[in-house]
Amino acid sequence: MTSPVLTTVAERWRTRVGSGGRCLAWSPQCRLLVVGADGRALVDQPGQLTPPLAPDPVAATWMGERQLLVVDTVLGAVFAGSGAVGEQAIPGARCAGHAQSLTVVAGVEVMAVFGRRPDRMTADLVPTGVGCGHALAHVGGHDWVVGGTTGVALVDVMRGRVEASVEAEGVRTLAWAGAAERLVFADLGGSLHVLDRFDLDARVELQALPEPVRHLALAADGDLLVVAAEGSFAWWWLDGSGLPLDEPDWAADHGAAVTALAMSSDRLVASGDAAGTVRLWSPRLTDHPVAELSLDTEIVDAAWSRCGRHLAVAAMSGEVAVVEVTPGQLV
Amino acid sequence: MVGSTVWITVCQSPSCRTSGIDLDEAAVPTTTTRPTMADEETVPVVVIGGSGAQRLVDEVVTPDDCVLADDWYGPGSVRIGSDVAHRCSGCPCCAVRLDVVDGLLRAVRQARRPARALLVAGPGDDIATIGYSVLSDHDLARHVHLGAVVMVIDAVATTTRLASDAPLGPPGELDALAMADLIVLTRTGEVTEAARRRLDAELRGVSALGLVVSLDGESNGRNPTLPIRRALIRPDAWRGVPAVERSGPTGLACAATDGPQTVILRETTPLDPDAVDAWLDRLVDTNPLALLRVQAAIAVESTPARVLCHGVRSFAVSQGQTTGSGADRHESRVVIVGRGLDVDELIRDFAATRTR
Repeated sequence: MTSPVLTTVAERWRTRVGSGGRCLAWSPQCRLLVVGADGRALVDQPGQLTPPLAPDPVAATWMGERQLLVVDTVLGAVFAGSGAVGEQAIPGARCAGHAQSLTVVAGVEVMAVFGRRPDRMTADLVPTGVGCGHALAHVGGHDWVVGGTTGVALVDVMRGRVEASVEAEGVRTLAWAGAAERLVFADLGGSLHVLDRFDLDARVELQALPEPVRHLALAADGDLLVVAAEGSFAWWWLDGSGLPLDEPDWAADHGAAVTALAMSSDRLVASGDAAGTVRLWSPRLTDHPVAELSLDTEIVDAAWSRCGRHLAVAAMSGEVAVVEVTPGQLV
Repeated sequence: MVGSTVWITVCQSPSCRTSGIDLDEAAVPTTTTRPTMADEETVPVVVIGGSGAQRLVDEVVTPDDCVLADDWYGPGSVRIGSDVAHRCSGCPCCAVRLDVVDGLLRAVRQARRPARALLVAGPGDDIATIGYSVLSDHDLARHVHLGAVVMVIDAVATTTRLASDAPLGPPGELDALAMADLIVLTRTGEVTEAARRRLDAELRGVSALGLVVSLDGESNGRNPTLPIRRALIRPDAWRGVPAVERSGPTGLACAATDGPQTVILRETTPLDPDAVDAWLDRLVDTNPLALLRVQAAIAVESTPARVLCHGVRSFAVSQGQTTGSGADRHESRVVIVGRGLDVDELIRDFAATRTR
């Protein structure tokens, strides 16, 4: 049995991209993509840098192992890889994801679905009805959830229709737990909503936080929710129906505002803050980090590889670090 | 002394909640042992609205600025070298908040920050919501501050409205004019002198804070954009002492018919810190959506420097005055722009904060 409490962190490499870090993405086989504020993309390791792909990148995803997609507010979707570069305009494009051979980009009132046609760079547009999409998650099969300006919608991207939707004011972050089929989203008012995929109306609203929640992470089992609000963050333990088992545990003061949050498949939580500090936390020890590293400025993104062994973090200055994390053995 | 008291108004839309949460503790700056970019001077945000906002941006933008534009330029036609963000649709209030926060964060979270962020408000965008978003978002507060609000007015269209006995503008535009630090008139060369005088008088009836200038230049042949450039470079218009005359009456300075009012309060004796703190709390608490702009320089007993305070709606922040106190340091000056204000009550309650 392993325990993440006695955890070791070994830095694999550190480099700098462009005029600032923007976003990170891991492929299923642990290939890393880092997109800088100037639109350059670093692939796999330092030195492997593309020319600028996009003027205002906001998100990125791998389309399998050989092609990547950068979401840009000006150009829409920009493709690179497999010897080709292309783009497709998607008004208001903000976020993207890839699953089961389909790549989805959320824009204004629509999802652009790539992969349904032989030409992978041509999208079918599916209406979402949630304003501008700011957050996206694949929830199994051909179903995706998108959170936007006016709420959350469950969309079957193959049939091209909204299966269910919930109104909410300003959804900018959401998380999905596959094993529990549970969705959590945060609205601008600071409320957290826990929903069952098959009954979006039967939602549990967790206590309103004083701040709009920017960052949340949900364990695959759906029983652990981590929420960042300003200088600290809360651990919520949820029962089978999504109700909190107890009051949330508030982690120790981070020292600066939390600006990035990610949970690994081992349930290790990485949090980055405005001072450039990255902390790793275990759900078994919620009041003290199990490891720590530093970058030179505010952390803008953190991402775990799917295996949970590698963590990439990017800073506002463009500094990027990749560390290998080994959860400790329980003795 | 007056503290950094923060209130949160969630949204303007009827379905949203308004919560009066006092976040005194959260407003205290976090101390860190290592320097961060956030420790450096924050980037001033200049909010530019009105019919010729984009034209004005084209006139005043410099390579060091970033622009958050309203228009969709499309691939290959992005005209500004630095960061550009675009507006998106949805609930107007929430869309503005999401766009403003996300766009500004992208624009300033870079190794080399822009000197200014020029934020173009689209037609129908609520300037108060934009100002509130810039001020109240904690992530943004580490990087930017609200520098100035600029409104651009088409003199021909507006004087035509006035000649037809229509109001100066729709309600949202009147609110924005009342909040503005700078009012820029375009096409002034195409209106008669009488129409121009009437326009000036109408603007004075709405705005007590706004400096009125013409983008088309005046008759003396100066570079027309120079005064505008100079006037725009006031990154601390909101964080400084209110830009109203040092001496003058206390009370209603101007009021548009069925529109915003501007109230100026003055006091030359030091104020009781607890009393003025409680008054400001009460003011914001009881008028969360009616307050378009609050700006104050407050001389309190026992504090050598005045306390400067500014806010929009239910959010206000304060800091000590570091420069320029001089002979004014015992004078308190408060400007309140809002709708449905009880002027007599404001005068009475403010006077009651004097040291006894």
